[in-house]
Amino acid sequence: MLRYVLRRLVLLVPVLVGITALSFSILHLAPGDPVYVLLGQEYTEEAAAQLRRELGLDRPVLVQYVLWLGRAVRGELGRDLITGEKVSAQLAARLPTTLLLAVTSMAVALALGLPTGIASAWRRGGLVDHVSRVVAMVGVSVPVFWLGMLLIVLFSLKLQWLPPGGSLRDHGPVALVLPSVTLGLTFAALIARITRTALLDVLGLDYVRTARAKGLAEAAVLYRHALRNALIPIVTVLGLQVGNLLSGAVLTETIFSLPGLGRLIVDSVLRRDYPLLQGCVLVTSLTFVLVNLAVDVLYAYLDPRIVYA
Amino acid sequence: MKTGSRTAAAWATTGLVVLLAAVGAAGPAQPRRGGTLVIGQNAAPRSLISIIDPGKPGITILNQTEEGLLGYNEKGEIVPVLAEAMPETPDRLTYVFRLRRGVRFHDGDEVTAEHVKYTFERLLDPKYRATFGQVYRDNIERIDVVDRYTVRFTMKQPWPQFLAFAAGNHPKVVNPKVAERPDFGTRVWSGTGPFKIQEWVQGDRVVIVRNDNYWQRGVPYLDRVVYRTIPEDSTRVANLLRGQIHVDQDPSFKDVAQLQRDSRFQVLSAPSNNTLLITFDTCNPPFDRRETRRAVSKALDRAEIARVIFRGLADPAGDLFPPHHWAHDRNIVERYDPEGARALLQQAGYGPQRPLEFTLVVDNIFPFTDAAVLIQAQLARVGIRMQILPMEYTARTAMMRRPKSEWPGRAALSRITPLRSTAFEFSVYQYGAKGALNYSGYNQPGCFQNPQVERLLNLANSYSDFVRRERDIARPIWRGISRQILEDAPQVRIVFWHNVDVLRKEVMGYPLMEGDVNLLMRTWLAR
Repeated sequence: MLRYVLRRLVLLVPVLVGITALSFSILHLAPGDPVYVLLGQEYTEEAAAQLRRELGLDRPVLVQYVLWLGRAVRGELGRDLITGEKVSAQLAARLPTTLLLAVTSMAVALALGLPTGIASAWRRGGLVDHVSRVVAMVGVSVPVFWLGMLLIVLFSLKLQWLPPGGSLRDHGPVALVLPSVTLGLTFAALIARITRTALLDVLGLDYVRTARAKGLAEAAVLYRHALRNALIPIVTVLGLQVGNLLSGAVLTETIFSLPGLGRLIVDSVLRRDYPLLQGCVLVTSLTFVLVNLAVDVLYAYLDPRIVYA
Repeated sequence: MKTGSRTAAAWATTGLVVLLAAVGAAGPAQPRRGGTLVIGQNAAPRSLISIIDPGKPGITILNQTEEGLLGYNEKGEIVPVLAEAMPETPDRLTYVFRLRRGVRFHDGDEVTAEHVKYTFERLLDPKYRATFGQVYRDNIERIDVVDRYTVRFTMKQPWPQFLAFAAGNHPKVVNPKVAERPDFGTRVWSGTGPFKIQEWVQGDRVVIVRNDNYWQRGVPYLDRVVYRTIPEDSTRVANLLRGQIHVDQDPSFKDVAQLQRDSRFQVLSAPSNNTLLITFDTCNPPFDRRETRRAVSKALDRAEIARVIFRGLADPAGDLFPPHHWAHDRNIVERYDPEGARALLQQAGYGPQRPLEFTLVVDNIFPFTDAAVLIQAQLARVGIRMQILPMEYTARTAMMRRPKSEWPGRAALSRITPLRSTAFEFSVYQYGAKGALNYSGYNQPGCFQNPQVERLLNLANSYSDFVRRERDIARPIWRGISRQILEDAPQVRIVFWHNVDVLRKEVMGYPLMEGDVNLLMRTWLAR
C-alpha cells in the first residue's frame, strides 16, 4: 500500500505539470493581458511593449511557463501583478474558507443524501422513494445561484435566522450555514440517487438474501452487509465531486460574499493576473488530485479484497 | 496671478449638480461621535495605491485616507487641501504651492515640500508604473523645492487642466519612508486624511479608522468605516435590508425602484459623468459612412433607455457634456427620429431588401447587456439587424486596442467616466486623433476624417476649465464641436447615468456627489 501511495504521489508531478501547462496556455490564448489592465486609459503601443518587457510577457509562452515552473518548484509562486502581494500569502488567506466550505457542503450532502438514498432503496417504489426521486431531480436541476438567493430570502430576510452572507470573521461558523446548504443540496440529490442505485444492486445479491435467511435484523442486513459493499461507487462519486465542489464554490462564494479561493480565481481571470491564477490552479488541482488519491486508498479499507500492488 | 478665489468661484458657478444627504435637518442637530459605518461595495479595490488605478471602490476609500495639494469639496469645487491656498501662477507655465504647516502623516512626520516633490515624481518615474503617469510626463517639466513649505511646478507647455489633475485621485501626498516599503499598498499605507487604513483583507473588506491627529479639528465623527466587498447586487440589498450594512454603493437600478418605496432607507442620486455610448469602427464598412452611423443614432430612443434600463436615473445625451457640466448646451439634442433614420439608411443603400446588419460587442455586465437588448429592439424598428456579442471587460478593451479589421463586431457598447470632469476628458480622449480612448479611428489615418474638428479641439482645449473668462471664450467652440461630432457620430452617446447610493435612515451627513469623491469626515450615525 505504501509503495502504491508513493507511486501515486510521484505521478502527481506530471499531472500537475500538465494541468498548469494547460491552464497557462488557455489563459495566454484569451484576449487581453495584464498590460491592458495595468495601463488602463494610458495604454499606448510603446508603453505596452515596455511593460510587457518588464513583466517578461514578451517572451514565448513556453519560456514564460518554464520560468514560472522553475520558481514554483522552489516554492515561489510570484507576486500579484496589481498589488504586488505574494501569491502564496493570498492563497493562504483564501484557501481555508474554500476548504471549510467544501467540507461542510460535503457533510450536508452526505447527511441528506445518504439516508435518503438508503430509505429509497429500502422502500423501493414506496412513497419515500417517489418523493426522494422528485426532490433529487429538482436538486440536481436547480442552479446554485438561484437556490442561494432563495435561501437568503427565506432564512435571512423572512425568518431572520441566518445572515445573508459575509465572512467567518463577521458571523463565525454561522456564516457557512447557508453557503454549505446551497452547495450541499445539489450534491445531496446526486448522492441520494447514487446510493439508491448502488444499494439496490447489492440488495439483490445472494449474500444479502443469505443474511436475511439466517434471521439477521433488517437494519443489520442493510448497514452491516449491504451498505458497506455499496459504498465503493458512492465514495468514487464523492471523490469526483470534490472538483465540482471547488468549481461550485466560485458561485457560492460570490452569492454569499465569502472571501474564498473561488472568488480569487474569478478576480484573477478578469485581471489576467497570470501568477495569481496559476497559483490558484496549482492549489485547486493539487487538492483535487490528493482527494482522489485518498479515495483510492479508502477503497482498500472499504473492501479488503482490493490490494494495490 | 493668483487663481485661488477665481478658480473656486468659477467652479461654484458651473452648476455642477451635487446632491447632499439632506438628512441632517430631520435628525438631531448635533452630530453624534463614534460608531462604525459599514458600506457595501460591488467590487474589491483593484489596488490601494492611488497612482495604480484603484478603480472606483479603491478611489472611494483612498479619498478618506489620503489628501493632495488640492481636492474637491462637497460641492464639487476645487479647493486647497494640503496647500494653504490655490497656487500662485506667475506665468502660464509655473505653479507655486505653499503648504499648510503642521499637517502630519499618519506616521507622525510633518508634510513638507520634499514629500510633494516625491509624490509627483512617483507619477513621472516609469518605475512606479503609475497607471495615468503619461499625462503628467507629457506636461510637467520639473518640480522644485523652494523651501520647506513651498514647491514650484514648471510645465513643458501650458496645461490648463493641471489644477484638475492636482486635485484628482492620483497625486495624493505620501511619505517615502512608508511608500518605499515593499508592503506599501497591501499592509502599510501613507496619508494625511481624516481616516487611516487599518487593514485590507483582500476580497473581503477594507477597514479604516479615525485619525485622531487630523489637521482639521473636530472631524471625523465616525470611529471606523468598514468597506465590505459584496459582488452580488441582490446579496448587497439583502445585507442592507437586514441591517448588516448601512450603505449600498452602486445598487442595481431595479433594486433602487423597490428601495425608494421603503421608509427605512434614503436613496441618494446625483448626476454624474458615467456615459453609455456606442463606438463605431469608422475605418471599415458599414460604419465608414456618416449616414449609417447617424441612422443608428437617430433610431435610438434615448428617453426609453433612460426610463427602462436606468429607471429614470439617467439623462439622454445630446452634446458631448452631461447636463451639469459648464460646457453643456441643452439645445444640442438627438431626437428620436425613426423616419430620419430610414431616410439615411436609404441614402446609404440600405432598405428592406438589403438591411443594415452588424454585430455590437457588449461588456457582459449590467447595464450593457440589458441596454443592448433594448437597443437591438429599437434598431429593429427601422429595419437594422443587430447581433449582440457579450464579452468580458478585459477581452473587450483588448479587442478595441487591436486593429479594427480584427474586431469581431463593427461597433461596441461601453462606458466612459471622465473623473475630473474637464472638457478635455470629454473630448480629446475620445475624439482627438491621438486620444487615448479614440477607438473609433475618428481623424486617424484610413478612417473617417473631419480635420476641422481636430483643429477646433486643439483650440478649445487651450482654454482653462477653471477661469470664467476663458470658459466664456471656449463655450461657443465647444458648441460647434458638439454639433459636428453629433453629425459625424463616430460614437453615439446615449445617456449619462446617475451615481446612486442607498442608505439606512440612521446615516447622517452622507455626501453623494458627481465623480467618485465621497468624503465621510462629516458623516455620522444617529444610533
